[in-house]
Amino acid sequence: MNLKTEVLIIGGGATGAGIARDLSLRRIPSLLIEKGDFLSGASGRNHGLLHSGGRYVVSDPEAARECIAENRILRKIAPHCIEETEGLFVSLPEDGLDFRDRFIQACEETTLPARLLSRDETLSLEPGLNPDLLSAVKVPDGAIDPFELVLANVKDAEAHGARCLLHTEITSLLVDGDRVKTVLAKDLLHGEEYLIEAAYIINATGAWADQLLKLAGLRTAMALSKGSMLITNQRLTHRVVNRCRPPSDGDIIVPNHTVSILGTTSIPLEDAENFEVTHREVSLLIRETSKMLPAIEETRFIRAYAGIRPLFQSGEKGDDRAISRGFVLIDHEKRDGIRNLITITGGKLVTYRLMAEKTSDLLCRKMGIDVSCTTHLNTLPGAEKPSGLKDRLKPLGKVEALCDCELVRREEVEEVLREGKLKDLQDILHRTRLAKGTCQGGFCVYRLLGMLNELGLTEGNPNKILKGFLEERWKGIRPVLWESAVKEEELIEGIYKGIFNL
Amino acid sequence: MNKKPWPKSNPDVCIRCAACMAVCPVSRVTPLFPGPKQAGPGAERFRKTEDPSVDPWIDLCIGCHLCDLVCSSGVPISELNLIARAKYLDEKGRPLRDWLLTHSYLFSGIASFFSVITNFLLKNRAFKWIADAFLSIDRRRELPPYQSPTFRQWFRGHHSTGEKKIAYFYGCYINTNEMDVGKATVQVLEANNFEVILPPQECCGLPMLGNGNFKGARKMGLKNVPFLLKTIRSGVEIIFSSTSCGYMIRHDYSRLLNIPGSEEVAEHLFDLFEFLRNLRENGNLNTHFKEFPLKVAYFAPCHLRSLGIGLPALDILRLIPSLQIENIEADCCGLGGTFGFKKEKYDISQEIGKDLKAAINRLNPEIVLTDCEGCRMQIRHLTGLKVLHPIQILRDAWMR
Repeated sequence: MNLKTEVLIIGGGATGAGIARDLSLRRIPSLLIEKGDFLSGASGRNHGLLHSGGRYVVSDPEAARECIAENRILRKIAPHCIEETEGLFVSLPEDGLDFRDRFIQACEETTLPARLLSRDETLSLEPGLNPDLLSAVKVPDGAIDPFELVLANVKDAEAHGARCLLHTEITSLLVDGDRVKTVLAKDLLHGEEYLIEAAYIINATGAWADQLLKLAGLRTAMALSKGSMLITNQRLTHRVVNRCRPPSDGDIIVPNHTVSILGTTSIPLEDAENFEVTHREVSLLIRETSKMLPAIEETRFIRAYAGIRPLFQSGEKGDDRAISRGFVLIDHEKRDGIRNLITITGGKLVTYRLMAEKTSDLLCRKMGIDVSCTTHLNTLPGAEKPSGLKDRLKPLGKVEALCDCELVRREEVEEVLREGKLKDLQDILHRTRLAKGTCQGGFCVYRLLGMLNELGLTEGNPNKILKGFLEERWKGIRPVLWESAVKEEELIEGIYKGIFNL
Repeated sequence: MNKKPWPKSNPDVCIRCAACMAVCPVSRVTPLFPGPKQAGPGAERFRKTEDPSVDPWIDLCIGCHLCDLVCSSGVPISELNLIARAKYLDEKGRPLRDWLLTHSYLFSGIASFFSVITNFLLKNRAFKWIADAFLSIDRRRELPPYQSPTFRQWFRGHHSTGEKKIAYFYGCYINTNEMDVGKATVQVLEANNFEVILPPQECCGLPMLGNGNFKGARKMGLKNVPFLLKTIRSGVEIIFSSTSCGYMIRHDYSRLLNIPGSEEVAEHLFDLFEFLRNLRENGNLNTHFKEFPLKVAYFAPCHLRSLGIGLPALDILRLIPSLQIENIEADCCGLGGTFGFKKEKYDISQEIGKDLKAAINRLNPEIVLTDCEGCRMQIRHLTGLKVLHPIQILRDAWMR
């Protein structure tokens, strides 16, 4: 099939979706292509931290300034994706107070609102914290749901004319002189091939940026770094808890819905596809974060996962001087003489909108048109709808919960299915909290498959789908399997093997 | 690194196996209650102490403890429910009805003294209609009649003798509503050569605790424990004939209410039949029973099962020659203390009782026996049969 578009966006993470929305609001037609589902890469594999900028304020004030500005914008345009928790930067005796004083100084210089709390004030806010702590600095960190955020961007983009193709991989970029002339893509589920003609191409593939550029014979000086995280069964604190020291392994605890996420590590990686969380990382994360919150030593974990950050050597900062080290925007016209190709990568979830704005600005300059960005002014769809844990708990007793751990209602899933376009199980799991709780889908995914079967929506062999899901689930559970989680796994295994004969 | 074991009381140890869902009497009959797994460890993940309660359905937990009993991981599910329920009711406020139902010990003395008038009123349709309309106490439920003299008054005129002393915690209901159970207890103990003494005692506080009133229940516990401590420290052990009062003192006083000295009391506090079974094991039980040709069925109350002592009444009653006794295979009668009196819960209570009723009908006994006053009321209500405490049959079977 032949497809034509003004702008082809490759990559369905936060950046790609953000660009699709930005362009659609500027009335520039675009087509987004993603080889998996939205958020299959780093956008769906992070802490869900709404940075205040505190984490970078000492080392990179420019990035911190971007964070706090975007933090304020997101609170306005995406309140339904955000929990305004506040964040604490906790100083432990072994950290001393030198870094804390530099931290407070840097916050003042970057106008990042920060307030020093005494030990007692801190413990009255978060009684579970290490009682030996010296002090804490309170900053406007928060929790953000990346899935809700990215899907709301997609929804808005589509409402304004953007198109998206999921589970479709770019197979070649055909360069003709100073342009990428045609792009070939393939539907990974059904095998259909597309020939795409686009005036401009934006590479928003994050950690896969080099892999895509290779198709055009290009590359960036990009290195990959794995960051691993652990999810606890219960939410341990109300606020984000950071360690007040230079960023390092295991220095952050982010509350997220019913759980807390402990992060993170940083390990160089060769391959963007095959990686797992190691035993050493699990131990490191528990050891370090439990210094801030001793209860972590005795808490249950339900999953370990990792995301990949693209890192850039200091020489490679992109061409636009206005852009900080937080993200990299490459105009391949200036760099490689390819006029219609732009690469945007790096950055953080919280700056996705700014990255989309800068990318779209560059594109507009190249197109020779002058339309300004409005993504910071218009709220995202769903902003009016309330959300919170209590809204899930309340209707229990009146409605059937399909997922008993996260209290996802059957109707909720039916609504997602009605919106259509879902091609595999993972797509449904990205759009609801189903399988994100204690049993990680062990008990509810077969119910979901039954429901899909009833509705005639299962494509392919349900046993194969279930096996695929279980393998992926096992990968996440294996690193954190001890104590009663082992019993639960045995029970689940008994069900699948003994009853379902899988 | 060495991973520390997780604390056992934490809902983290729930393995989501749903064994509790299979025994919960409430979720079995109504979708309004999501069941122990969801209401307890499941919902704990959503509750935050600083947030107001949003789970009115938690008030439907009947407090039978069957979930705790079957949990493979030892999660104290019904306690989690009770704490959540207390928070919900503290915030929402309790109706006057709940106060009346849980403070009957305050006016039961007067009610007994004027039992003729009280009982006339309690059976009076107009009175019941008023109680239903204004207090939401379901008019289909019989209100238990009061007796005069009370058990305590009877005991005052009774001269108990025996070689060894035993103390008796009889509980409110035996005192004012079913004094013959108390009388039978005293007679059986005396027949085994025990001198019965009655330590000073107040309501154990279970009705309040069951209604999520921790403060009120603790107050009762704080009154009772010093009396009971004094008794056991003088070398006298204590027995109870009501399994609910017994469970409260033995388990909830220490575990939920943190009453000083309650653990010491618990070590010397026995279920009446548990005590008799101990006597029997030591060869000290008077077993001079006569032929007692009667067909009875025995129902084990939830609180008895939670005590984890087996079914001692059944063990002892089986010693009676010609007594045909069958165990009723059914879970929870559905009354749940004050639960089944409440208008909004009456239908659930009846629905739960259906299984028990059917099981009794299959056995077709002349008399039903059970250790708990709540179960006795409910079984009378469900079947219209004569329902006694097993001690009453034991007394009657004795050769004199």
